[in-house]
Formats: sequence, structure tokens, C-alpha cells
Amino acid sequence: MAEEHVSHLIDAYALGALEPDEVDTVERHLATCAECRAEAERAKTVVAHLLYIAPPATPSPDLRVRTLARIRALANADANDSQRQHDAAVGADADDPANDDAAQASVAVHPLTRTLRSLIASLPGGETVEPVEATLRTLLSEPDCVIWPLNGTDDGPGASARLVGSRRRRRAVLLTSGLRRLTPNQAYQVWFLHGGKPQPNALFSVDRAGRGASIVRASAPLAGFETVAVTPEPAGGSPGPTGPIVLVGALSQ
Amino acid sequence: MYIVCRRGGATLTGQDSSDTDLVTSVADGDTDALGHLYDRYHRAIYGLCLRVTRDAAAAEEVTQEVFVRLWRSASSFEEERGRVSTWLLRIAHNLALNEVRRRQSRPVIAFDTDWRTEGERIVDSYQAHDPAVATELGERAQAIHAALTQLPELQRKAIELAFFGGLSQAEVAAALGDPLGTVKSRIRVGMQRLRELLLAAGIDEVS
Repeated sequence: MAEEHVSHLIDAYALGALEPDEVDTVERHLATCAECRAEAERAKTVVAHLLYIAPPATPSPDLRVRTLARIRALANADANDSQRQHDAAVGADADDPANDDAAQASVAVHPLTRTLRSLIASLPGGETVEPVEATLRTLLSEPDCVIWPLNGTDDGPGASARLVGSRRRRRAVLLTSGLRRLTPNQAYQVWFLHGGKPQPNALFSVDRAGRGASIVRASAPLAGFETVAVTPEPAGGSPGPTGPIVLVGALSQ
Repeated sequence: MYIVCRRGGATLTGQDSSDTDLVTSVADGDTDALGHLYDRYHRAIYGLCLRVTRDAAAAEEVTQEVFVRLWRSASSFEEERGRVSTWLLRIAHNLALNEVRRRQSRPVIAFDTDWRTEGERIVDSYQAHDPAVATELGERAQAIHAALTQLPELQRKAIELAFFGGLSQAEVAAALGDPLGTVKSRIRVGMQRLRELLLAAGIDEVS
């Protein structure tokens, strides 16, 4: 290799302090010279250490909320893209005005459209749905919204559920599927467990497909509970669980 | 630790997860994991952006943009190429310099750094506000400060202006009123000496 080494430029190159023509010279040489490439890597490591010496500082308290809200909007846009790709893959008619209207309407309604749509799709029929849907919209707009899964136990084979809420709030929505229908004098009851002790909460029933939806309001923010569970109880509910747990999920560990 | 369902399905994330695990979760679409990384590193990132832009509003904008980049590029992070903190700070440094150039701000010619006490103040600040990363970030910063303090002031100043000011060697020379050749020499000798000092202090090669 007749070309001269560029050692004399490497440190300034790593610091980003070269002029554009010098950068070209260095990068052309690095493409062909392993020795100088290794030297450049070492210099970049020194420069990387300099990243740590600025004094830390505290931005406005709302920067976290603003940043996460923007990320959630991006997450939703990604999800919508995936949904569109999915629709295209399964042959949904992109020219169908109904599809278009539905997509546009839901985008306008909420930035977390896909999540909301999929949750609404899991709602049972009946008059309880409308307030549940409104509550879901509100909860999903929270920057710290979490969706906790609940799993069916041996006494609730095939059942599953999601609890939509946030750790700092009391209110949440429980959406279930795959639960067996109960007799008219029974209802499912939600329990929040703190220190292993169950606190009684909302009652709900399920439709023929085993789908149920219930707005729950815990006695404290959900961060204060470790577990949520569901049992079948007498129709008016019970102060303590009497039926077997059919669904259970961890709220924190 | 709790479970969230997002873009790619259920993912486990928690405040105690490693940086790399959190980045993996972010790549899977876990916004809570991104929140944990924000909590760990936003003050370091904002501090760096503030040092470069010298403007609180611009520094906040850039800090937010760093996390947007993290969201979009998490899947491209390669653990073997370095730490998550270095990766994030490097993104922040590049974006902050771009912002300064975009605004065509006047080049900075001096930073109000008291090199004798700055390292300790940084450690104290991390310990007070960011105990989870105080060891990694604070002690690292203190050790690097200690090495920088041993450089002759003119070498340190040239490196500092190039790095935080985003100035070329010619701009550093113009800002300080020194000949270009002198500035080039200071930067080269200063960087080589700094590397020796960091190695002697046992600061690892892997960034």
C-alpha cells in the first residue's frame, strides 16, 4: 500500500474536528488499512469516554410524559401499519369505503386505535358495553397505561382475560373470554389481592362466547395489589371468595 | 416487575432488568421498557444536551428525540459494540451538535467548568438523583475527569471545544486566536495522553 498512513489525523477524526476534505482522506485510507482502522477504534473509545463528563441535569418534570406520549403515538402508528399490512394480506378490500371510513374514524378517535379496536372486538354484546368502551378509551390515553394478562386456572380451562389500567389509578377494565356461562343465580366476581388477602370487587356475567367486560374500581391504586383474580360467586357477590379461582394474573412482582 | 402487551405481544420488563434486556424489550415494542431506560438515563442525556446546546428548551427537544431514536433503532443495538449508555449518549451528542449547527449558534469559546471539583459534583448529583446508575455513570465520569485534570489546560480546552462545541480544529484555532498547527498538535498530544491516563486508571477499552 503506497498510501501514507493517517495517524496524525486520527485523533481529530475521532473527535469530529476535521474539515470535510480531511474526513474523506481519512475514510478512504481506513477502508484499506487495518492498522489505522484499529487506531481509529482506540481513538473513538477515548472520545466515547468524554460523553460521560457533562454534568447531569434535570429537565422539566413533564418531559417524561411528553416523551412517552410521543412514543405511544409512534407505537400505535406502527401497529396501524401492521394492521393495514395484515388487512392487505387477508384480502381486505382497500377500496371499500366502509373499511376506509372505519380506519379513518378510529384514527381520529384515538391514537391507540389498534389496541382499542382489538379490545372492543373482544367485548360481549349487551348494554354494558358503551361505558366500558368509553372507559377503555380514557385508560388507553394514559401515558402509563398497562395491559395485564390473566390466565385461566385448572378451574377455568381455556379462559383468559386482560386488565387494562395503570398502576397509579384505581379504575380499570377487565375483559374476559372463554369463561363458561353461569346459572342465573351466580355471577363472576373480581378480587384484588393485597398481602394475600382478597378484596371483593365488581360482579359480571358473560355472553354465550364466554366474553365478559367489567369496570372495576379498586380500594387503592393498582400498584398496591399484587394479584387480580376471578371466582364464580352467588349472584349478589360475596365478602370473601367461596368459589374456585378461574382466572388469575399478577399485577406486580 | 409486571407484564405488558404491546406491538410484539407479551414481554417481561422491570426496573431491575439489565439495559440490554430493556433495549431488547423496546425492540419488541415495549413502551414500559423505554420508560425504564428514560428513568435511568434522561438526566445524563439532558445534561449532555444542555452542555452542547446551552439552551434548556433545545436540550429537552433533543432529549426527547434521543428516545424516539431509541424506539426506532432498538433492534439495531449490538451489545458487543458497547454499552447502552454510551450508545444513547452518542446519539444525544450527535443530535445536539446537529441542533447547534442548524441554529447556527455562535461557537462557544469557554465552558464554565471548575475541573478541580466537577468530577465530585457529578458523582454527588448522580447519587442524589439517579442511584440506579450512580456507580456506572458517576464513578465513570469522576475517573475521566481525574484523567482530564492531569492534561495541560490548553490541551484540555482544545479537546473540550472540539467535542462539546462541535468545532473543527480550524474553528478552535480561530476561537482561541491560536495558530492552526498549534491547535492540531494540542489535540493530538492531548488525546494520546488522555488515552494513556485512562488506561492507567483502568478504565476499560470497551466503551
